[in-house]
Amino acid sequence: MDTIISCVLMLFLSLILYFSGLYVNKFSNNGIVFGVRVPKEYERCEEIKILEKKYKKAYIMSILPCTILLNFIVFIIPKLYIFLIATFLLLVLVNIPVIIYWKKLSELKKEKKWGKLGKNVVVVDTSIRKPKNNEDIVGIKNKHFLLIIIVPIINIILTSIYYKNIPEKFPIHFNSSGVADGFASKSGLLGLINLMMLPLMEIIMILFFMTINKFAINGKVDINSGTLSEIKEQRKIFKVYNSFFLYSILIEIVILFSLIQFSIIYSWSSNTIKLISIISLIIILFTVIVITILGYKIGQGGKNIKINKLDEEIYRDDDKNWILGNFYYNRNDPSIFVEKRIGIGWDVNLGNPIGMFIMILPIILIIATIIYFFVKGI
Amino acid sequence: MILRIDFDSETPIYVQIKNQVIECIAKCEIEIGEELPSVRALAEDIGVNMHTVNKAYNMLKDEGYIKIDRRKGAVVSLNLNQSMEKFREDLNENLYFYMAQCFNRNINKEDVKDFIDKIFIDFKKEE
Repeated sequence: MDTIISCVLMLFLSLILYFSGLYVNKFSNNGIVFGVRVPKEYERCEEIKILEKKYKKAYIMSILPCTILLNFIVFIIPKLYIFLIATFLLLVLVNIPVIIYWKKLSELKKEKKWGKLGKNVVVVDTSIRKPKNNEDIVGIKNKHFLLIIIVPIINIILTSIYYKNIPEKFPIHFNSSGVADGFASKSGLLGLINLMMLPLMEIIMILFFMTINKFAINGKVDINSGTLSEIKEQRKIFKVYNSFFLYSILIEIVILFSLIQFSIIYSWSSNTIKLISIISLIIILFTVIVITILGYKIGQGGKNIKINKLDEEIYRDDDKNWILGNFYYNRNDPSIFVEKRIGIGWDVNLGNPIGMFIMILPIILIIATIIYFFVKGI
Repeated sequence: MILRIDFDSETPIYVQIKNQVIECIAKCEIEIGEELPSVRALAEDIGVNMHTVNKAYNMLKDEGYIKIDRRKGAVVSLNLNQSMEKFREDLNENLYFYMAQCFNRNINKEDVKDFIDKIFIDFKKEE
């Protein structure tokens, strides 16, 4: 049963990664083709169209067999570390064709002297961070995120009230068929911590999502392509969408955790738990699919939203700050988070020590987890 | 408030920031009592060191264009009397130099006056 879950997850990740790589320029920021900033008037030119065609061909020829092979390996070797290695490999693999074509397009750009077009002028609109009108304030506010804390508090209160009814040994881990396979004792301080673990995790999740939302709303906006009025409108819509996604995923997670907590308090049967875990898995997968499709529709920073406003076209070549067209490195820039160049979301500034730390930490953690699982043979 | 900072210009960036804030105040893009973005936020948006923005804000503060509020940060204030004397000297000096250039290039007094009128319309527009 656990094999099925890792296979389904692998297939799901493969599909998302495969298609986001295939339509890489649809998922890139405004004015970005293969990680290279291209002037608006040349974005649809013949040379780039040919490059895109070649890229798609090369991508399908190389990545599709790799993806199928990795899925097959995960299917025949039901080990957790194999699943993690395969996911990690896939993540690296889908980016290799992009980097090759980044190099090709960079050479074309140099040859055509597109870098010389436009002025090296940074445009800053302070009303994006601090809107003058209240109606321009976008997204869901911190206080609305904090409102959800009611749920973990109810959890904690209910757990305290029904403390007596909870069996001495209660389950803390369920396998995928909903059968409890890990138990903890409720007595003592340790037992109390175990009992309150889920509500505490809910609270941490809420604070974490609130912080992400705040960073997303107040973050630096990339104003190097397009027109100022267009960028403002697009970001407004994009940030609203982003806020709602964060909020809905947070609510889903909190409800799921609460249900698990209730199953401990009321000692629900394994069939109920199985039903709950299947339904919640389907709902979360469905949310991720909706996010991906809408992300494709509106594009990074809302760049696919058409806004017809006449304004001065901005074009500023900032390629030198982007290593391999993908990693932002600017020591002069104090920002930690910047808009992703390729893909939807935010990236870190590797020129900032904190940004570098945030980038490296997950990689170290993943490698450590893989080694740990490998040694344990899980 | 919209700032345009030219990285290829010979004018230092902190001077550009200072000048543009002053122009924005004149154009009523930012009003008295309104907060300027924090040093960090503006440095992030322009992509420069925070010292650069800090330097610009300090110059604005010394001239009396902004005051530092403990809660709100930099706030537009227009306490310009303190730097009036120095400004008049500067104005005299710079204007003298500009007029000399105009004279040498045969741009006459009326043209300069028209030009000044046009600029002042820009400043009054929002009222």
